[in-house]
Amino acid sequence: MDFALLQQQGLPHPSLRSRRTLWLLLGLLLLVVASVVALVLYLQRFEQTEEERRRVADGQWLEHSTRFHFSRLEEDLLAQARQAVAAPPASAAAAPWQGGQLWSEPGAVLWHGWHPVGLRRPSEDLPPEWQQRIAAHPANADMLASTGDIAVGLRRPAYGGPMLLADGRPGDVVWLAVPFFERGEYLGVYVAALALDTCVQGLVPTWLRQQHTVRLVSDGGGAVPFAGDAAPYLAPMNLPGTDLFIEMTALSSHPALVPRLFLLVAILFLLGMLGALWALRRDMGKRQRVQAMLQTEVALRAAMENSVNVGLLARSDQGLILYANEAFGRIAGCDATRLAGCQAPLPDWPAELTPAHPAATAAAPPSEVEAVFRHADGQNIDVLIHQAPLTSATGQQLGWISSVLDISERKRSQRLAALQQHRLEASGRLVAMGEVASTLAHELNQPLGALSSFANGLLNRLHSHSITLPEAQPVVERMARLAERAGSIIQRVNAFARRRELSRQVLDATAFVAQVTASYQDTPGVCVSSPDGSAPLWVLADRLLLEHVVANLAGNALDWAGRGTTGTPQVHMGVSMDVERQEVVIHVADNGPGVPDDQREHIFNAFFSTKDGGMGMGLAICRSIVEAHHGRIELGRDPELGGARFAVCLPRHTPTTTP
Amino acid sequence: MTPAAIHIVDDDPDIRDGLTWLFDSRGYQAASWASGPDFLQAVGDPGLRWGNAVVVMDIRMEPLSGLATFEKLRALQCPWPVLFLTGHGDVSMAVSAVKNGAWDFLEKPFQDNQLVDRVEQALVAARAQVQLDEQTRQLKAALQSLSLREHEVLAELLQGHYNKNIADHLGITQRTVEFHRANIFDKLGVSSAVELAHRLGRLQASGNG
Repeated sequence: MDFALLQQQGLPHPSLRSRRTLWLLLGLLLLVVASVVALVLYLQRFEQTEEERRRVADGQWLEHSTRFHFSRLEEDLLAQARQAVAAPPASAAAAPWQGGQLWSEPGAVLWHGWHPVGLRRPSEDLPPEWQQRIAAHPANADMLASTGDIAVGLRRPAYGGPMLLADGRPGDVVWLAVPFFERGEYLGVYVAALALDTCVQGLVPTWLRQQHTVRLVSDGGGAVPFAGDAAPYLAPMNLPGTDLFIEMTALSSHPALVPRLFLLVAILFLLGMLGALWALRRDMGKRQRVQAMLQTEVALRAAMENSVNVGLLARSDQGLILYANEAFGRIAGCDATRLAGCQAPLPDWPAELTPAHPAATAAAPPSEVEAVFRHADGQNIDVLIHQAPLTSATGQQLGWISSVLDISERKRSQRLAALQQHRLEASGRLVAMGEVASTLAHELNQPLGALSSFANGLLNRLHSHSITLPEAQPVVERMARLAERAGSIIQRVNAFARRRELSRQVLDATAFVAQVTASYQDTPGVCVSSPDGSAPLWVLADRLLLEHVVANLAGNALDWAGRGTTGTPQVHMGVSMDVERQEVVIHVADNGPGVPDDQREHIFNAFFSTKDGGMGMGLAICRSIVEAHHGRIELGRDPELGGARFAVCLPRHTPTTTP
Repeated sequence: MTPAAIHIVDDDPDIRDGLTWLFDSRGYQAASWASGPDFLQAVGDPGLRWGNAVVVMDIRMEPLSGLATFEKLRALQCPWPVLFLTGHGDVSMAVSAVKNGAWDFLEKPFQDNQLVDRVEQALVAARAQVQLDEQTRQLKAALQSLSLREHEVLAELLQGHYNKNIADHLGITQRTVEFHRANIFDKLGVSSAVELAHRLGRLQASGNG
């Protein structure tokens, strides 16, 4: 069923609603996306900042650490110097000494030695290998000298270097000169050659080294620590006299995987939620549509049920009423909604509604039963009950559904119509009776009036004694004849009024006509012809009545035959067969004047007569009889004789068994 | 006066004979006719003088109906009263016939002696009519016998003028007027001016001749 039209009126502005929802959803989606993007950006920024901060922190830590370790080294050297002053060793390098990390780091302090005051310049005091290394570049000696000078001059440890290699490139060796004063008196300087690379590598802890590449650079050249993400951090070593930095380069920026993963999962969840929301919405829409359809259908069904006049009753096999509509309630005269759940049939219900009734349990398709239903107010209602089995989807019969149609109105109108018809017929009969009476009165008036006149005249004479018996005799005889005439009229009426039941039998029309007309055979001018074939023409007829018809027609023909202009009266009678219409035709023709055209219509009417003294009943009765035999009587002009020709057409009978 | 005082016209011989026998028993001589044309032919003889008679006629007859016969009779200026006999259902026809000047009608079946009584009344009435007709005829003849001057005087008299005024109007002497007046009275057979006016009034009422 197509409910689209109904639904359009049923749903309130669905497009507007959905559009609003759509906009809302879209806005929400936009918000979510924006927040996700913002979150990502913020996270990135935060991470970067964090990374930077950590890097700076690491760098600063390294810087401090370096500074601390070198200070310690200086302390160690100072301690060495003090030792050297206290007991000048033969071999400075062999002295067992527990120093700081740098001091104990193997390969960090390449060489160290004490140079008391008055000694040669420290550069001249060096072992030959160092002599060579210093000699590798001319600037190295100066640098060493100036370092010692600076240390002495500033009275604090000073660094120099790095020592240049032969090709002019700076190496990693740095000189450290620590002056030693005792009670304000300069005693000497302790010099150490440090392999800075090794120092730095020793200083950098493992965890730092995992994340960064730590490299020693000399003279950062305006190093900008925060130049960019990838820019290495330059931590100044703060070794006075040198211009060295530790460069920290992040090995690879390992982004924090876990928060990202969390974010991803959250986004995934969000997306999933959005998808679920969308699916939910779609489902809701579908549900709404289905609900609207259902509502429409329910409304339609309710309207249908309320509009029909047919009472509907559904009940289970056990007779429990499952459903009854309003029309049924009206018929039964009770509230339909309260019927549900009751046990059917309620008292006063027709037996046809009980489940055990044969009409109800008939397996045959909807049977119709007429029954009388008792309304709650006691009034009887004619109903037409249709029953049909109520089956479930699985085909199992649950009960019966009956439609109950109130046909009392129809019945009443039928009864009324029948009554009307009856009255009409009665009045028709009355009219006919009136006509009969009128005609009868006229017919009877004549002889009775004359009779009365004769009788009164006779009485008058008798009173005046002016009559003799011989004079009275012809008058009395005349009176007797008149009374007879009146009696014959009454007899004819009786004959008409007496309605005979038809007692049909199979007759051979040919033999029958021959038999009936046998009495006329001797009359001059009468000729009875029979069909050529000797086969009998069977008709189913009441012998006596048909005889009356033929005799009446023959009598009429004989009466009129003599009144024609063609001289001697002639009457032809015969039987023939109309093959086309399968009718047996008995015809009677005469050479009389025939029937004038203006009388043809009336000739078969009752009480119409052109004969003197005729009551006009003969042909009317003939026609009634013939029509009772399902035949008809036809009037024509005989082509041979020129007079009237009456043809009685009777349906041919084909007997199954020959009588 | 014709010998038959009662004419019976009916196409039914039994009725005809019965009525004849009935009237005969009451001392009236009746003539019977089988149809309207037969009757008309018999009474329409130009030489026949209308006498005192009554016609009893069936209203339904063939081929000429009672009403048609009556019309023809009227055309012949027959003065006889006509009494129709009607069957069942012909009453309205008979009523219209009475309105057209028929004497009366009787519906069948009737009391035979009542019929005879009605016929007797009709005869008496017819006789009176005949007498009235005679008087009228005589008066008309007398009027015709008046001279021109007498007519003039009569007209003045009928207007109710005195002799003197009549004399003035006609330019004759009063004595001459008296002479004419006496002549008029004598000729018309009246004795006073009042009777004269009465007579002439009746004449005018009876259809002005």
